[in-house]
Amino acid sequence: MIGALRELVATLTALSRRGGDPNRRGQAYAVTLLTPVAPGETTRLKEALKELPTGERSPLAGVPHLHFGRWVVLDGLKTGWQGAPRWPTKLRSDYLLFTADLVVPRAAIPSLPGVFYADLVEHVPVSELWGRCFGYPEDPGELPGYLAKGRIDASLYFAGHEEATLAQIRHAVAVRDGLVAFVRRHQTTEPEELRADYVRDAAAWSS
Amino acid sequence: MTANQQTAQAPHSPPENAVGRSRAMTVISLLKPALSWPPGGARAQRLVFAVGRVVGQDRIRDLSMIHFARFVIIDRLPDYGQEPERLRQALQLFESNYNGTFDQYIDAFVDKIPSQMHRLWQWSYGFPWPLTPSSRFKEFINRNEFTVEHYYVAYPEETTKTIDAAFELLAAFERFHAAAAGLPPQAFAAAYRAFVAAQQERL
Repeated sequence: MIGALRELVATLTALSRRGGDPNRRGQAYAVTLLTPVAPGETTRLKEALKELPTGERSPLAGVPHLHFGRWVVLDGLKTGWQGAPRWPTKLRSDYLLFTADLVVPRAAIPSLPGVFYADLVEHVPVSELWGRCFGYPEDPGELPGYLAKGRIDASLYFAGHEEATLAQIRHAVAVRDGLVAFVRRHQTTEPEELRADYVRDAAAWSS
Repeated sequence: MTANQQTAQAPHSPPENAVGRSRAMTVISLLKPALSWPPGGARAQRLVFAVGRVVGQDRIRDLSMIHFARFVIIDRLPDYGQEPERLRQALQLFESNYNGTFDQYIDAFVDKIPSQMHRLWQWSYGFPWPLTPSSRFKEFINRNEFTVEHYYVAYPEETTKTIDAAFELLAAFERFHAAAAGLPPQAFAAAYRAFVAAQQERL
């Protein structure tokens, strides 16, 4: 019985290894970073995060191939509820959690996650954020390695559009929006004008 | 260190966790030890995830609400020279970018893939089983959910469904364009009207 169970576990483990990098699903890639916050810096870190511009002006908007990104400050685990373990884990430090979802062109997959850390350093005010964490390096050249040190592998990753890059999604959405506007403007247009307008507008959707 | 406040209100997602039509869920639960019920603990949970990486994720895809989601088992924390941590229980991080409301999201899981939810959460302390009524699972998620300090979404007004529809429309448009762009006006107009009628739902 125990032998059969061991064999089953070995088979399942071998099967799971066929999945390759656990952070990857198709062309999608999950980055998960956990960094301990320096003592007394949690409030200022939260303030710095709240002060970041949002939407298209977010520093994350400039990071190539980034679909979603977030920062969460873990200032203690939530363990005060019925059914929690009698002696629950208590963290001695607060932690900065950063997660990102990327979808890159197939040729760029081997460069991940290394190139992403460099992109992050280039576009995000890392000194205002990770600068409030333990061990922040004085040498900017050490920053990608500093970030990489906090990486934790995903155990299971799901991507709804695992092969759709940001450029492809934006192109599809732009064509849709262009078509919708065109259809609204040409409800009763005569064929000659309809075709002429189409030729003019369609060229813009394809660009 | 201050523990996050517990809420006595009905389960909900903090407003900070939403941008446009997307919502961020960040949940951390504690995993039971190997010698507990059900037996296996973090090690068994890790194995379930490993198998989940190679078998289909079609049931989750069918929910049509999730852009990206991940589970991460944390049994040690990165060492940056901080005071060493001793994790009595491994941590399970669940992180999701989804469309719809908190209620719709949880109800979809409970109604459509309850057995998968059981496999993904059964070793977490406090996980309610059976999942119905869904308010029990909502409370479990809510009491373990964190508020996002900064959330970025590259296409905040798009949902997984509108993106699917945009790609389908693009494919149809490219076929139409290749076939009709060179036609004379009358024939072009007829082809155009047919294209618009066929794609009405996506426009």
